[in-house]
Amino acid sequence: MSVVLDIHNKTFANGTQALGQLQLQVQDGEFVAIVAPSGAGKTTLLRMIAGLDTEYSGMIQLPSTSSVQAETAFLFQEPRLMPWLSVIDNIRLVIPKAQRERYEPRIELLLKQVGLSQFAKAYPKELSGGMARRVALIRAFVREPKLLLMDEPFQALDAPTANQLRQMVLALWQSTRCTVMLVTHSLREALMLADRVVFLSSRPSQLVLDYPVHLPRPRALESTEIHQLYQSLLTQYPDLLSGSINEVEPC
Amino acid sequence: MLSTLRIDWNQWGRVASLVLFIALWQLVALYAQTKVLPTPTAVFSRLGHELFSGELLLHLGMTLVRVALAFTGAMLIGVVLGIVMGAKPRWNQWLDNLLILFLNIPALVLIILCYVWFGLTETAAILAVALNKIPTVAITLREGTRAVDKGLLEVAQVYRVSRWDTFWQVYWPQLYPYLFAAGRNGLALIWKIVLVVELLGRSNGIGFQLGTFFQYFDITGILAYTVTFVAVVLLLESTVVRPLEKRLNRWRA
Repeated sequence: MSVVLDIHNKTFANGTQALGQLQLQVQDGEFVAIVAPSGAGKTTLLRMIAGLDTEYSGMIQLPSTSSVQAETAFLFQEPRLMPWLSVIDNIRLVIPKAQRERYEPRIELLLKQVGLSQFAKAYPKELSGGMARRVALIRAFVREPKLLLMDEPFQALDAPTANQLRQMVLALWQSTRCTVMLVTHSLREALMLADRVVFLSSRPSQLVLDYPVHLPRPRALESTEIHQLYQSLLTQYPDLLSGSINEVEPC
Repeated sequence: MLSTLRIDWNQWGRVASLVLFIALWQLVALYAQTKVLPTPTAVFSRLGHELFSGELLLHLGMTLVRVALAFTGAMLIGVVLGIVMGAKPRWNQWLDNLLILFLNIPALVLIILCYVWFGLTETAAILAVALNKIPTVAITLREGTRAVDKGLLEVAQVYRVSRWDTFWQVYWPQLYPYLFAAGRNGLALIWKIVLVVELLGRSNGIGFQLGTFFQYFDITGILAYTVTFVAVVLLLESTVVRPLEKRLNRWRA
């Protein structure tokens, strides 16, 4: 599902302008990472695409108009599981009642894939942060979404757990071929996961640089290729991560 | 259910304090030798007598039915009102002052007015009790509704969870603590108001019976009925309310 964004302005009721002019197109099946400094309105952007925030001027086009948002999944910064529902009921919750029966085998398979089969009946309180995020991941993928929105879902996790989850996301993305938009402030993470990295400026956010990542997959976060790419990008644009591309003038 | 009836001996302090209290009562009553403070033994033997004559069960039964009806009615209306007021600021604006008004009318006034307007009927009695309780239930549930986690509602919204499931699986469980608070306080309040209602305008029920005893200065009878009453409340609390609460709060463990 391709996504077309043409946003003119997003200003909160308190007068803060979160987003300025912003045009962006994401191809069907593409993995796009959005990198911007903290507080730049990345989360706001995702919430607008998800339909959680509708107060903006401009337009967001998500084709296959029939029941668009049923085909959108959202991984929030926190797992956001219902504490009173067991793991499996948390996953069932996002499936319409009439179809639940049909999805049971898939739920079982996904739980197995992420190593949570024995925890199907556990309550979220009994899970570690990484496990809870795996459940949220299954919840996002169970209905094979056309579009997956991710809001820094690996933040606040230890490095090995975060890496494991990244691999899971990649595997699920490759098996479902959904379009992914990931918001992050970690450039390395973006380079490792995405086909394309979009850099935004600080508030009000505008597009600063649209950078395709041509590294072959699979990529490892700690590999020299990613490291070199990271270095060369930052040498070319030293202020990139704070949201501007004043190129260094050659001495 | 059975396990909750068993006495937990680790909590012997609870039992000991009760025994101590009764022993003290017995001593004071024996020492005072007055008609206005009968001994616990006299009260319990009177209790047995009333129980076997069937008199007590009839009055207790009537009171229980009134409590159940008033409680159910007050909870249903109060919960709906509270949720609506918590979720819709417009409704809250309209109803807030009315709620405060009703909250501050003394129970006795509502009872008298109901009897005057609707006659000395069963409906008027139950209505009077329910009206006393509805505002506090509504206020508790309004706070609960306002405290609902918006993040979880967003999950339901993004994944297009049906309205039915959103309410019963996302909204409702967050209200449990408030429902129990409202239910507990509600029951305690309703027990007491039902007795007043019975005293003023019914010809059966524990309240009516207490009124009769008062006229004859029958303190033993009053205390015998009081003990029964308290015992029933405690029994309900330990066999229905607490196990239910425990079951619904399993996920918090």
